[in-house]
Amino acid sequence: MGEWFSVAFWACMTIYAVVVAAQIFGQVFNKPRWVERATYGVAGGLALHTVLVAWRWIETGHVPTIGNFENGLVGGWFIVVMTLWAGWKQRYPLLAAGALPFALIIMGGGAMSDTSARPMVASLQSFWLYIHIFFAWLAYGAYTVSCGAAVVYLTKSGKNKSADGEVLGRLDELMFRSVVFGFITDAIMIASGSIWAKNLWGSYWSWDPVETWSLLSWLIYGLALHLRITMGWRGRKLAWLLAFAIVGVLVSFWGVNLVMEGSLHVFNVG
Amino acid sequence: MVAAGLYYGFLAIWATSSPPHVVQNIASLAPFWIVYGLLLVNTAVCLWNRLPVLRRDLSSSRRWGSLGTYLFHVAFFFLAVGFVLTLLGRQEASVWATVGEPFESRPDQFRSASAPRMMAPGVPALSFEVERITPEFWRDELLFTTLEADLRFPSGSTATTRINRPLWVSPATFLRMSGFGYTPRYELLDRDGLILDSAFVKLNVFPPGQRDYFTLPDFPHRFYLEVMPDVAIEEGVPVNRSLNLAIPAVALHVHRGRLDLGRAVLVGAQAYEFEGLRLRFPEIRYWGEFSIVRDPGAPVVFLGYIVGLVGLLLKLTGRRPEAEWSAGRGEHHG
Repeated sequence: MGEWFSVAFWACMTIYAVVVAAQIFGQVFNKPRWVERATYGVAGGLALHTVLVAWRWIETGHVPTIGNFENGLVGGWFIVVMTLWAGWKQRYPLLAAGALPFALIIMGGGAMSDTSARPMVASLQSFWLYIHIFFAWLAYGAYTVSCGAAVVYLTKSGKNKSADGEVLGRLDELMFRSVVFGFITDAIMIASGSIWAKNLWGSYWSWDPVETWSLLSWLIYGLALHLRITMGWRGRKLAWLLAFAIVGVLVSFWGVNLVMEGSLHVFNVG
Repeated sequence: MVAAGLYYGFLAIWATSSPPHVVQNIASLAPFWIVYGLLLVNTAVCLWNRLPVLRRDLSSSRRWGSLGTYLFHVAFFFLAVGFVLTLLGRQEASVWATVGEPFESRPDQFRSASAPRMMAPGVPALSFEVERITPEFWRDELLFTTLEADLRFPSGSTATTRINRPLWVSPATFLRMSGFGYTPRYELLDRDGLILDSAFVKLNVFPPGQRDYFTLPDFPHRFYLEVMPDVAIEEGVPVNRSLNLAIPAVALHVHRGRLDLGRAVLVGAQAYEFEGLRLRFPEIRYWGEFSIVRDPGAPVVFLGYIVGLVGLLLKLTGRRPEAEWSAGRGEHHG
């Protein structure tokens, strides 16, 4: 990436990191104004982040979807947008402290890989690519929000904590609704990816590790929904499940290609 | 159900760190199929038993969410059946077809074909001719921005297939382009210039720098080739400028047994002379690699996707079927 782009990118990362630190500080040392004001930092970081996405789009001439860097950049944008919306809408700004670290991880991880601009290669010129990736970002953003809400729930509730029931109720509802949203969009992601795979590789399912992990994580969230709807799991039980369920998502998006070779799901081309 | 859950859970976790071929081998084992069959029967029975409840929900309170739940789980049945059909009936064959060469599904024209399966006795017969292959590259790098082939069928119709846009020839059969390479046409001449033999040879000589060879039936020689698709001579040295087939040249190296008979870079109609013979490559075309895939499970699986998605969206309508959190004392009410 160019020099000015690099400066803007790391400035954005710094803003998010400062926001997370401020919210954690505010929570630990009981300074609620730090938590609330940090939300404005999220909005400011998001504005800069949006500029970065548009910049990359114009520079490459296509939607930034190629490579770990572009996927991290846009995936992180979706996470921040959904975190900001959920936190604002639910009047719970501390959500950013639980969700933004994931944006930092995928953006930082992407920045460690090849950041050079690449063309939209023939294998990626497909209508199904845009559907697949768009719904992947929505799903992962929603799962991150659910994880963030779960983390906040766990920090607010507990034996020796006098938590506000209404606040916990809103967090519980946010966990559930974000998982539902993520489950539906994840299903669309898997289906559209399968159709694209059939077009590109001749087979709609190849038991590629990334495919298998994404299916596994989808089933885990399906299990969470089942436990909530039919078994009445809520509150801390559900929060613990959702706090760890995000691991499957991180592995399928990021971990497989770090650890294994031979996956057809290569995010970097060239 | 518990045993199946544990078995498949263990397999799923193991599959996440295993290469695909290992996972596919597991799917051919008896325990996998026994448990799979039991789950399929269980799903079908549950769906059947649930029908009266669904009818009651729809007639009395029009709970579309209930229909959504039902359809979503019906979709799993479609997916499971589609998967079985794929395992039992998927066939794939690979073909290299040169521009201008008619492909008629003769056994000698297939490069590879998957073994016959229970529901797939052989590769479906297909006939076509490649009219044109168009690869385009980004700058000078091995990144395709376009790779497509124009095909003509015996009926006279034409169609274009791209690397990620297959042609459907029937509900379960499609033709897709999966690669390309160079096909030089050689001419072998005697001392008097009489052409002894001429043919196209499909070689694995892409990208430039890749080396392949061919032999001729009545001659003991082995001819090694590299193709430079866009050659220029810089300071007396042939240099390849791009990946586009503009001014092609062939780097030839001739052997007879262990005897090295020399090498040369041939451009256009230039010939190389060895042991009373001359060899030249007046023309280079593209060959395209095509896969003919018959997968009876694919339409069923895709139908399952549609049914499942409709079910999920229907679930969003109407009242939620579980308790909602009540503000105040933090208690929940059914």
